[in-house]
Amino acid sequence: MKNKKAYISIEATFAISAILIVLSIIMGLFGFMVPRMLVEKEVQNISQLVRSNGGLTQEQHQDAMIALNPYGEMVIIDVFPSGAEGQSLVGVAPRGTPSAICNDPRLFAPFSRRMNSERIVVRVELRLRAQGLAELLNSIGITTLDDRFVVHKMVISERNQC
Amino acid sequence: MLNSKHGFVTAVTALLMVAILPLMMFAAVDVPFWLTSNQRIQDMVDNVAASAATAISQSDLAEGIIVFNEVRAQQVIHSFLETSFNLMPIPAIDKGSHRQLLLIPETASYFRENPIVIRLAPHSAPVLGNTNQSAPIIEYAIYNPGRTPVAAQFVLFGGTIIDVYHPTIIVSVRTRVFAPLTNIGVYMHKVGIKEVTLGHR
Repeated sequence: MKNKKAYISIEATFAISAILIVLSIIMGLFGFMVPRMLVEKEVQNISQLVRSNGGLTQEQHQDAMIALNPYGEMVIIDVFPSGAEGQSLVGVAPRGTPSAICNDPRLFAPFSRRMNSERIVVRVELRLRAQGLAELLNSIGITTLDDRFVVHKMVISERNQC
Repeated sequence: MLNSKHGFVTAVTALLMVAILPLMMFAAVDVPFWLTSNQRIQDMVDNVAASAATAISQSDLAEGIIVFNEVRAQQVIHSFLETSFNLMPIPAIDKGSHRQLLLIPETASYFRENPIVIRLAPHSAPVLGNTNQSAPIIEYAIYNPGRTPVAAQFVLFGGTIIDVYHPTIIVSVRTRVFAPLTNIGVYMHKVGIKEVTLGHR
C-alpha cells in the first residue's frame, strides 16, 4: 500500500457538521413526535372500549395501563361523565355479567347507559419517557423540557344492558 | 478579484445556516404538529359519528322498541363538534340544516376563519362535499330509512362513493391547519362513518 497524506478541508468539516445536526434533529423529531402519536392512538382505542362498555372494566383499565406503560410513567387514566369528574366510570361490570350483580354498586361502578346520552370524557395523563435525542441528553445529565402529556377524548356509551 | 477566495468558509457557513436552520425548525415543530393534528381530527370525527349513532328514541324505548332518533343524533353531532373544535353557534342565523358557527375567542381550534359553516346534507341529494374546495366546512348526513333497509349512496368529497342500507351517520370535516411556526396551512379532510346499532345491547 502506498502511503498518502490525508487531509480534510474546512468546507468538508462544515458540511459534515451540518449533516450531523440535521440527523440529530431528525432523531429528536422522532423522539418527540412518535410517542405522542402512539399515545393518541392508544387513547382512541381506550375510548372505543369506553363507548362499547359504558366505562372501563378493571381488566380493561389494567390492560390500558400496560399498553401505555412503554410510552411513559405516572400514567393516570380517568373516565367520567362530562361535568361530573368525581363519578368514575372505571370498574364497570364486564359485558354479559348477570343482571343480579351487574348493578350492585358494591361490586361494580355503574356504567353509563346509551339511553341517558351522557357524554363520557376519557382523560389520559402521563409523563413521556425521554427518547431519541432527549434520551441522549438525559444520559449525560442534561434535563429536557417537562414532558407531561394529556389527551382527552369524548364519546357516548352504546351499552344499555348488562 | 473574482479569483479571490477570502471569506469563502464564512459565506458557506452563512448559507448553510440560512438554509438549514429554518428547515430544521420546520421539521421539528411544524411537521409533528400537522401529523398530530391529522390524527386528532380523524379521532374527533370518528367519535362524533359513533356518538351520534347511539341516539335512540326514549319514548319508544320505554315500550321495549329501539328506534333511531334523528333529531337527537343531530343535537349530538352539533354539540360534539362545537366542544371538539371550540366553536359556538350564532342563534340568529340558525337555519336548521345550514348553520354557521363562530370560534370561541381565546381558545385553540383547528379552524381559524369565522364563520364556519356546518351543513346537513339533504336526504333528496345525499352528496357531501362543498364545491368550493378551499373553504373550511363541516358537513354531515343522517341516513335513516326506518326499520326496512333501503340502499342509498353518498358521494364524499373527492368522489368516493359509499353505499349504505341501514341508518348511518356520516360526518365530514374539512379545515386548513396552520403550522405554529411557519404559519403554512395544510388542508385536512376527514370523514367518520358509523352504522346505527338498533339491537338490544
